[in-house]
Amino acid sequence: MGPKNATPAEEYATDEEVVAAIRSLSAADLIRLGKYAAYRARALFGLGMGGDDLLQEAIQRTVKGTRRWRRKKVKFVTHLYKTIKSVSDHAGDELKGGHVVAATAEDSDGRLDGVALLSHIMDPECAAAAAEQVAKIEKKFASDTEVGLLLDGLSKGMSGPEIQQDLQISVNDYETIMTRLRRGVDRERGWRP
Amino acid sequence: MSASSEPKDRLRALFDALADQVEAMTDEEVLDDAAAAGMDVTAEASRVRGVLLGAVVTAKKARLTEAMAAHRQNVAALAHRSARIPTAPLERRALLMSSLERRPQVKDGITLQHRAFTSFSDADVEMLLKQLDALGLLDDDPESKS
Repeated sequence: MGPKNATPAEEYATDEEVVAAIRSLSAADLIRLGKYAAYRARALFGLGMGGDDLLQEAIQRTVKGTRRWRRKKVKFVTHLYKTIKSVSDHAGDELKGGHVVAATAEDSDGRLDGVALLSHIMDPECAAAAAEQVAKIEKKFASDTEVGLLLDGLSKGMSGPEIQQDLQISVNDYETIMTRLRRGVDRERGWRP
Repeated sequence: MSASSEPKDRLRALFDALADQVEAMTDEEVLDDAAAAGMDVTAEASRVRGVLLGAVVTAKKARLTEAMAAHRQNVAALAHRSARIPTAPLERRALLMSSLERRPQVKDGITLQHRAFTSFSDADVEMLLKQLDALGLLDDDPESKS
């Protein structure tokens, strides 16, 4: 007998329901998802993952059952956002800690293979590439004080509301500056982040 | 940016924040933003959908491969166990009887369900031995004697 609060199997989506949900996503949903995954992947600098890798990983976990979709309780697109965030947060924590734990073994395609990843993230060339990218962004916004202050806040680990409070700006102002930052970053690589 | 953290950490903070912002955008904002950036919205939407659908196929194949590997393991284990059943009919009957004598309840169940052991065909004996073997109830099964 399972635990009292176990989710009944019928609440989880079948493969066919997952496929149907993918087919029903709107153009805006798909573009937003693609951009979201691409940014999350870029946040994992050093892993060599792209946005498509995160999208694939989210779907594979859903279908394989390691991160199932409760179709009646959660919108499919929300499930994907949460799954992508979970995958990237987990990988990001490992990057930050400078080590790889066994949990990434479920990413069985070899991209997150422990030894290879460990040697890659400790690679001085990788660190230099990250520094170069930061310098490029700083240079791009050198004349934009507001974006510079926002970047400072982010690099100190501050949340959006904390930055708003620190800079004494409204939510709208914050969003406007973020949008300027985002568009500027996107322009570096064409429309795809 | 502040020099208080590693470049990789700064990139992570920046792109995580951008991801959060994109997630909160309305459909209209997403489409306007894409069009302003010169994106072919239809082509990009189709591409992302293809990535997602392709991942479903990959996951299903992986699951099938895993299931087939597990099945092969089970078959191999069963073949290994079956190899322990004697080939001579008399030895088979002797093994069946000794196994059942040690388990009266199983024996009673089989006689109730079927008939007297003496009328069992060689095929019946073989089938019962295989079933008992799969259950770990064969008399020469070390686990069954514990």
